[in-house]
Amino acid sequence: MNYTARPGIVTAQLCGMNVLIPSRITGDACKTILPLTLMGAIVWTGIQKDYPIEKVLEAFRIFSKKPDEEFIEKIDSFCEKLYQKGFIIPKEAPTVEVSPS
Amino acid sequence: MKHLIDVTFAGLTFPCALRYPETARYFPAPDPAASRVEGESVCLTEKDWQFYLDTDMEDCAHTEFSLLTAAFSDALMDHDRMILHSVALRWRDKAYLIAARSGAGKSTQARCLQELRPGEFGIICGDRPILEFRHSERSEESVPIPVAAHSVRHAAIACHSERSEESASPSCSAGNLPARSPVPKPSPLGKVSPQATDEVIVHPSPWNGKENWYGAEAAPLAGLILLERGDENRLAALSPREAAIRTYAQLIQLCSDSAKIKKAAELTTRLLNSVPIWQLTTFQVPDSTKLLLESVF
Repeated sequence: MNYTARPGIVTAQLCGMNVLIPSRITGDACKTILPLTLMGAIVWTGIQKDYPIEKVLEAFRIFSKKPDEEFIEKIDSFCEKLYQKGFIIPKEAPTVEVSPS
Repeated sequence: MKHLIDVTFAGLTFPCALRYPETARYFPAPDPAASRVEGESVCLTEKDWQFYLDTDMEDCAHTEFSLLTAAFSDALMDHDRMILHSVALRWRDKAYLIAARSGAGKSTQARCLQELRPGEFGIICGDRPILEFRHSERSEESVPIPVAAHSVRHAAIACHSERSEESASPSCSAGNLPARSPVPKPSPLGKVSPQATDEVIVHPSPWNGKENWYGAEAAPLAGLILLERGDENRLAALSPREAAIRTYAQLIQLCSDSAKIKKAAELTTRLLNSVPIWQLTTFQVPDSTKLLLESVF
């Protein structure tokens, strides 16, 4: 997965729902509380634990028999939503060391 | 150097370390009968101060008093108590909370209730009451539960359609409610099995808002009203899930500790599972207040 969870996001249980709650650390970058569906919780866990996409897809397949393309579309869409709301940030690109010539 | 005082909230006395000695005047004398909480003093850390001063708050005693709400709410959570941004009313020995973001009209509703039913409503706390959670076993008898949302909305629509048949009162602008209440009060839905749940006691606090309303004694909570502005007057019953995020957003806390954030979510869940919840959408007072009176009180 190409994102990482923003520091300071807390996962909590609220009236039977899994919710993402920003702490003070997130500042203005993230201010909303987001309830997670089951699928959303799977994607969030995958981002938090830095799972490869295949592992997230494996979890999706347990709960639904839809084709992988549909899951990938849902994952992309949910990641975009999380990004827009400030819950996740793009992973830093690995630095490439250039040896002196 | 910090100035040390004792402060009593909801039956507990906390040591408190103040940046400004003048802040002490905002708090009443501690209650000698209250249980003392040992441990670190409640205070705002330098990190807390920096966080809030970065939002252009003035560095003074009054700011310290305002910000200490969050520090105390965090401390109270360890003792099954919390502070909720709301007006706490007392009606017939029970407490009702009107919770909403700032500016939504909580104080206006409280004032209207008192004007429409003089002498019936007291105010326990005008801005940030303390909620205390006490575990209790419910007996095997009917538990009042709000009517389903669809029936309340339908009654609100009936109010609008019947409006033209009623003569307008000089004090109301956009129409009257019919004399017969179209919205049934919450009624028992039959027996429920015994279950452990919470009795929530609403206590006063020194944070009484700009109107400085207070005076009524603590009382057990009987209902929570979530208020919002809208383009019609409407009252609807809410499930705990429907009310969860809006209620949580009114809980006062520092939001700096993940364990406290999770505890806050737990207490919000217990609150919403303990009492009926309504959403009052207000377009105009006193019509929306009359809807509230006829349906809830």
